[in-house]
Amino acid sequence: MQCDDLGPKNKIIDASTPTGFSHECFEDDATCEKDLAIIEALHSGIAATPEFRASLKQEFMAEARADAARHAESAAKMNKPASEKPRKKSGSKVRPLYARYAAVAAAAAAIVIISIFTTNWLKPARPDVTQLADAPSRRNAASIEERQDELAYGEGNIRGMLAVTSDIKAMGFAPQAGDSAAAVEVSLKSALTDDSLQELSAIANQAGGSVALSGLDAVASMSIPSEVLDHVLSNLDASLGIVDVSRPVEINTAKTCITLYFTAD
Amino acid sequence: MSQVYTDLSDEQLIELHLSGDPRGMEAIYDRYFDRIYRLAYSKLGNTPDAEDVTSAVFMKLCRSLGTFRGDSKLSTWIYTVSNNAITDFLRKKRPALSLDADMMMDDGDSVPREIKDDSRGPEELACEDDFARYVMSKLEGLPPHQRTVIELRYFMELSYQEIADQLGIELGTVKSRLNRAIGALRSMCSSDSEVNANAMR
Repeated sequence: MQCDDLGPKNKIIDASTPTGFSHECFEDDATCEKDLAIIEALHSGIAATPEFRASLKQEFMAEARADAARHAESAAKMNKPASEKPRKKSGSKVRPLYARYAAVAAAAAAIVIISIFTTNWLKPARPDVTQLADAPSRRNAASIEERQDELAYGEGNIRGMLAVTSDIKAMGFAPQAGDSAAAVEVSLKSALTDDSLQELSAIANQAGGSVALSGLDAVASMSIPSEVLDHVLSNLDASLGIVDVSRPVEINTAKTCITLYFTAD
Repeated sequence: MSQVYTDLSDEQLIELHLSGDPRGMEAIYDRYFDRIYRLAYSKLGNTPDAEDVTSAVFMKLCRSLGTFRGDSKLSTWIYTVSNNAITDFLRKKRPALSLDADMMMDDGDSVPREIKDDSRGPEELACEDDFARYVMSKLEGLPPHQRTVIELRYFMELSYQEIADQLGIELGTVKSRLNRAIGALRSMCSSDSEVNANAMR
């Protein structure tokens, strides 16, 4: 027992038990002896019987040998130092998991991109601005295209129907579901007379379209290729005078139906 | 067991076992057998139960050592495994019985339940001249935080610093808790004059 006398109130006894546990005692020697006895009792007072220790060791070592053999076998299969096995094993478990997540994310991104491009590919081509400029000179070609479209619909061309009607419905251009032509409404300054009707027919013919009376007073309808719509509207304004035009923001049908409202007499 | 193996650290012994050498596990057994047994005995209070729990801990140790990741020290991991095994043992052993409930007899009458007290008194323990068992029985009277440092220091043989790391407290706190715990045990033992006379030599 070592004793460091640091004064009457700071006496510290640094003692050790027979089994090597040190203890700092702040009390007198007798108390310190008691403390050491308690520590020794806690540390080495209780012991298992040698029989139990031996039998459990035998059982435990049987398990341990089998387990060690399993580790050695698996390490040999992996052809790497067995001591590195657990770390590498856990690493190899993580990597494929991330690889799988990455593959799933890439597949999802690919599906989204493909769906976006597919939607754009299905949309009909927008009319070229230059086509509108020289529309009168190309009316014959437009007329041929129109007839081809009608023929195609008549023969039940599914692709053509899908390309036009589904897109119209989706974008809300058609006034009625199933309509295949955009609707434009024009109010004219002129009254419906033979002269104005004649003017109308001339404009329609020039644009490659046709005019029909609706049966209502002062109302007629004109069907023209969509690509010459602006040209026809400017001709109507020049010859009959347009008060108001109601038209869709965007027209992407081959034909446009113009409803003409003449001024009542 | 040769001196070479007993000098190796816990981590080295685990590496040895995982490389296929069973002597690594043998050294771990020799190193931890007494520690686990003491811990089990201190909480269960009798030899058969302490032996059962010690067996269970070592079997679990053998099966789980391959999954030991080394995040903590093996000694603290074994301490946790041992405490869990003791808790499981006590849960299985003690039936869910309400002490307040009367016992129903075959004829339908109920009688107050009589609980037999199996614990040994200080006189009995003193007569057995078994001071260590007497001290162990007094551990139950300590606050949990003082009992824990006693277990880690004198049963699991951890250093002060390892105890501080395990419990997340300062080194000085570990020392003061140990001193207070020993002092409390001394007071409890001193209050029993018979034990004091027999054992405190």
